[in-house]
Amino acid sequence: MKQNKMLKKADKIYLLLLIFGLILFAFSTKIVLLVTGRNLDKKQIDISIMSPDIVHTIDQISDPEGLFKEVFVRGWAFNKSYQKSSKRYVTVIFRNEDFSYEILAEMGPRADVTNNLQEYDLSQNDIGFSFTFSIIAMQDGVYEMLIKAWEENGTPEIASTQRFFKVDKVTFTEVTDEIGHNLGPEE
Amino acid sequence: MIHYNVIVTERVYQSVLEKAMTKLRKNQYKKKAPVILNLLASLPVALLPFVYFLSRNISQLSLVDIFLTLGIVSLHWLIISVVCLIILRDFSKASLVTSIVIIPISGFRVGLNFINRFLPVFFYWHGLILMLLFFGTLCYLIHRFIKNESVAKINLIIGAVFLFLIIYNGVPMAYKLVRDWKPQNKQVNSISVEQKDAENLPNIYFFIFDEYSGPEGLERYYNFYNQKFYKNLTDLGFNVSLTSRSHSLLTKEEIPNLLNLFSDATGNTIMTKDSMLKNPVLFNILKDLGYDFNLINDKSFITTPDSFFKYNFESHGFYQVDESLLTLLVDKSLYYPVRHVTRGQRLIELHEAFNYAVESSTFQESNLFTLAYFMFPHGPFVVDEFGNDLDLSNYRNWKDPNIFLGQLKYANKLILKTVEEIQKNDPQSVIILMADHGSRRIFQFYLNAEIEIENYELEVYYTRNILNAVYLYGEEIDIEGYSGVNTLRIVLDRLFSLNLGLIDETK
Repeated sequence: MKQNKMLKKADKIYLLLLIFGLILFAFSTKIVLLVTGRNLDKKQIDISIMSPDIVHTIDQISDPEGLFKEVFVRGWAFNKSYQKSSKRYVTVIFRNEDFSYEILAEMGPRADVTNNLQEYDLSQNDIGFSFTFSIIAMQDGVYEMLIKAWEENGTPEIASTQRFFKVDKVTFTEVTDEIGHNLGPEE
Repeated sequence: MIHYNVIVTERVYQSVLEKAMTKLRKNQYKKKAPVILNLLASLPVALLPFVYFLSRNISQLSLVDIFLTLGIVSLHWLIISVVCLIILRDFSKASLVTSIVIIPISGFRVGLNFINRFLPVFFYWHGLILMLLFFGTLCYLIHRFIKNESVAKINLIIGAVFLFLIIYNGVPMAYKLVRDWKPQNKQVNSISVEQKDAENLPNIYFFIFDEYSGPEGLERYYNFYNQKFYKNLTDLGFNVSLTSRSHSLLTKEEIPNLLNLFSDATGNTIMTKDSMLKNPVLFNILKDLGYDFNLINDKSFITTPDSFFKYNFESHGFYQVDESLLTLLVDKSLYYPVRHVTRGQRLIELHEAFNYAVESSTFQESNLFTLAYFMFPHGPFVVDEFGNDLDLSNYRNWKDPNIFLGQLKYANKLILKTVEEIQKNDPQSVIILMADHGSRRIFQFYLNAEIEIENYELEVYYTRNILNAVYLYGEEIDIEGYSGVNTLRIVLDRLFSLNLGLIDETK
């Protein structure tokens, strides 16, 4: 009788652990993204006014790589009202029809840009930017890529890169037509 | 009478006790033997992947690699067995669970890739949680529902089956090893020299760049003319050869050739390579002359004992060596994320190695021989000509010729920057830039059965065209057309009047 009770207790513990494991399994992706700091929150960002004053280029967008299917993006950007002494920030926005994701980029030097755009009197140290993000953290859909740039204490300005990307499960592809022109979601 | 009875009783008692003890010992022995057998039954399961990959790659592996991997695989088995034993508190059941879980652990990534074909959003952590659930369920079921006698029988069957599989995979390999063992014990020639005054010995930097093609190879396979690089080298006072050739297309053959100043290393296995690098002729000559040694050892390819080197630099992390049995097994297992290559990691390693090469020119004013082996511009392809990281998808991309070419052009920049810095710090030095063989792009396609080669010898001829340049403290020296080995002999003869002469290059 006592043994039976013991066995029932063991069964209960096993069942509890099994249920816990299955719940963990179901929410594991979200948990992993949160724990590793790769989670992306959906935001509503006002992009009604686009600024013509951001000069920018995206040099490199990698394929999704590694355990977290991370995409690496590298480029440069600055406002035309560039102030050498100010600290600069860039975020990249992936805009869907209903929501957006915003990712803060890390700033770095770009001597090549500084040398080629001497009319802006740029500093070498803060023109370039790069960031990685996990496409696992993004909902499937087509996104427009926007750049938001601002200087410390300044007003952020947003410009479209005119590039659109499709996230489908674990693929991240640029939406282009047959001859390689970038297409928006409507086209 | 009473006394006699007591003695008899004592004797009978002793005899009974002895018999009982003997029986107990026999029973204990009988019990112990199956326990050990049961426990060891899971070991062949753990060792099978090791034996399988060992048998298929034996010629590419060093003894250190084999024993290190064997040790780690055995330790892994032991840890899992102990964990199972702590949970189940029974040797037989612990062994059975170990046997069952060690298979999915060893082939985790293979299984994950298979599932990803149908379910791309099944990630590593899903597999890991399922593995843990499977492990827990297995422990529970075996603990609750399977009798010890049945477990023991199952263990012995599993052990026997996997032992058979190990023998099946291992015997042909062992036969091959025994058959090929004799010619592998290659003797290296020795040359004796007189010691010189250490202060008068110039520092020598011998840099080997794996897969760096000479101009003929680059023109033929990439339609690329590398004159600018050669012009920069000659401007820096280098003597260059545009038509030098290696003796072999394989690093494991050519580096022993170079370091032994002969061309004997044909048909080398990695073990033969290791034995030929144990005490190489070049090092012995330089040691006798009074040189100290400095090693830059990318990917641990140079296996000469550490005792040779006064200074030493390894460029990579423990799990980042590309071609080893251990990393091959890790890549397929649950632990593959430890091998996860992050963007730019390899490039950082290379930059560190080049920086160390420059730093080496400040170590000693004289009598230092620096040997640097760079697995570069050899793959993995990680950088474009401007120094930008490449996507990991280009790691093995031979199809696009610009990938290798970009890495070679970036190698040019690093090489020129390095030699300029060395010359600045150490102008009276000798710098030898050499490749072990040229780019083997055409043979990559051939081995993948993507192309047919019409004239094999001709392609070997062009692929053997190598980078070969020597800076002899600004002096001229004729190395045009000489192989790497003969270039080294010419330089040594010029520096130390050793009368080494040349070897026959037609072999």
